Amino acid sequence: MMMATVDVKDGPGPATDERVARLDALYRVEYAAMVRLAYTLLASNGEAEEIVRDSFIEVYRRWHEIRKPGAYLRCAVVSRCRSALQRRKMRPPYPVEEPCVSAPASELWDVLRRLSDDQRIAVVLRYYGGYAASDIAAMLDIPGATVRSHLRRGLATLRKELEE
Amino acid sequence: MSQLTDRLERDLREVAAGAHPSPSAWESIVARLDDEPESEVALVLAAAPDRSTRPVWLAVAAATLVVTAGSIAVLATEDGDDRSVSIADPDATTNPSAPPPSAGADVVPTIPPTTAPFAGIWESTDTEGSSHRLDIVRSGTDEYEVVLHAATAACSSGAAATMTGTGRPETNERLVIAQADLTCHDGTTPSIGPPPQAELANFTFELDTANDELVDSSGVVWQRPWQGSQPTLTEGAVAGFPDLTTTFVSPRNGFSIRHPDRVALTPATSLWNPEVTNVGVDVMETGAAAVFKGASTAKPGWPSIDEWFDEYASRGGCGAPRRQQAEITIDGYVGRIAECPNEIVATVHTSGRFYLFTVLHDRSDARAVFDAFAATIDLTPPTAVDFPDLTTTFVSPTNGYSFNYIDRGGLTPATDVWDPGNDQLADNQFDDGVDAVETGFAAVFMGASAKIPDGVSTDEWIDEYVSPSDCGGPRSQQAEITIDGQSGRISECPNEIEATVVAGGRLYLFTLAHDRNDARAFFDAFVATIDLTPETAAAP
Repeated sequence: MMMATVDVKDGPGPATDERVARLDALYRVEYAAMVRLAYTLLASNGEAEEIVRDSFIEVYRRWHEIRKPGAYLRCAVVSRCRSALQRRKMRPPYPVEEPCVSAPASELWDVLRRLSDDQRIAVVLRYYGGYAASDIAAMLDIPGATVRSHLRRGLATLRKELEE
Repeated sequence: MSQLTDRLERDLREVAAGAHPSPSAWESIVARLDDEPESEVALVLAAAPDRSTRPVWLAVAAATLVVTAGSIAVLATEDGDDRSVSIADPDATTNPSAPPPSAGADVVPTIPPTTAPFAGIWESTDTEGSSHRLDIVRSGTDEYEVVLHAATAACSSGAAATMTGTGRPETNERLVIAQADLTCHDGTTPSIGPPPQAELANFTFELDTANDELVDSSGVVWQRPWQGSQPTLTEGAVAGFPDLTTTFVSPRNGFSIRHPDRVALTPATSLWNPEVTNVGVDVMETGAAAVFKGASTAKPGWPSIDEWFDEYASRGGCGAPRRQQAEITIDGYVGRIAECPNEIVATVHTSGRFYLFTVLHDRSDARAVFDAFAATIDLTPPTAVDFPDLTTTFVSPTNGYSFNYIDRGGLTPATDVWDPGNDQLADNQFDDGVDAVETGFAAVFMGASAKIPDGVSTDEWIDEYVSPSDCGGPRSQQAEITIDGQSGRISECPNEIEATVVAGGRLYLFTLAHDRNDARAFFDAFVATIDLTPETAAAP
């Protein structure tokens, strides 16, 4: 899944109306995809929507500073999801939704939820989002080797658990 | 593996389809945009968690630092000041650890007077000219932790010994340890028997305030280290604080600093962990109501060093957010400094490294003391060590070697034999014939071995089957490396180091896949622990 980007000219940036128009364009392309990505990480539709909306607001605020709003939005969503997962640990048990999916998908989902947050994020971004390890590293602001490590360990756990 | 990844892609799409993006989300966003101020606000890229939601254990750790600072705060001052310390910061916004101001609260709570005349580092010299050390640290409102490094004669084995106990002041001049315990460092029984020793019950220290000396139950006189031999102050020195005459070179943190001759130094022995008190920190107790600490880390990958520091490293919450703090120059680099009650914190970063220097104190001239220390600091990032000691030994079940590694749960031993003809290590970390250690430090160390087929040229066989990539060039042209006494070859490529060595007719391959600037040093640390034991390898 490739992110669409909206080019932003160098310089002081567009006026407010134009900025809103460009945000609208970005919204049309990315909103639903970002909600689905966030939902896959969080298993909470409401939280996913809130995070994506907050991320759009953040993009709007920083429009003058960023060159690729789409890429920035993606980073903001993933970063906020990661923070949300961290915050959940302080308020257990967090009510998550059970996706209404087929039995095999439900089984995989159960194992996926037992991975560490970073392993799960890496696996979801790689195999749902379709991002390369280097892109995931940039999104999570961690070294590429760490991402590969998360993927390797996550996959090993998934393979072991799903084969048993 | 492809079956699993195919399934992942399919099932995750199915899960994602369960999301229900609201059709009215845009209206919601626009409504919020309408509330936005016209002025641009610089927000963080990453979501900035509310400080109130920091993990409980982090809050506890921060509280520990506060307690530590409090303990230091009550260290005895040279002039016996009897100051009180305000708990409530007058500017609560600059001190996240301070309780929020309550409306109408006119009274600023204070802790009891801070005089702690027994606290500090003391020394005595016995009749044979050997000096001994006594550390007394206030550990509670009415409690001191006492550690006396006893004479070797205390143990029949000749080993060093330590007496420890908790002392409580009976008066301002008399400290009593209800029961002190003497133990020998080599585990043998002290000459006076095992703890608790009756001889050490009600062990006392009497303070001679006129001479600032302690006399213990056994008649030993203890003095502060520089007592009677205060060095002459030199230019740049702080009156009332001993000269900084000796250089300390941090073994891990990439800096050096000068300090007084007589200090208690605890060099860092591991990586700095900002979330745990003193882990990876060089600590210098001056015995003059000031404790200097230094630590550093490879520059965090956050977009903003200020935000990283405020979120993860500003444990005590001293001072305003970093970007609002005053400037200080350390070794030519412009940093930030915050002055809080009993604590001064300065931070500075070079192009690749972030440093934190702290002075916990109970001195009215603490800033001058800090500046004196800071003026002697040399920042030497290349000397920093950014990986922990390799302390756990792994013996390969199949490959005929052992090496030390960092046990963080990342070890995956080989479960099969490696066949270079079919499994090229560089392409497949998941190979069952490979021992792999995910270090947790942006590097995976891997090893494998295989019998070299008869009649082949070793270099050509390796080039063709073991390390066929262009990286590093032909083995015969690679740099040399010695592994367990055997001469081998090494190639360093982007994000990967690969070494090969032959022993006992086997080809050994060790690689480090990494995202580290100091990868070669990290690799060498592993290599230094390798023992090649071809006789223990599983065939072939």
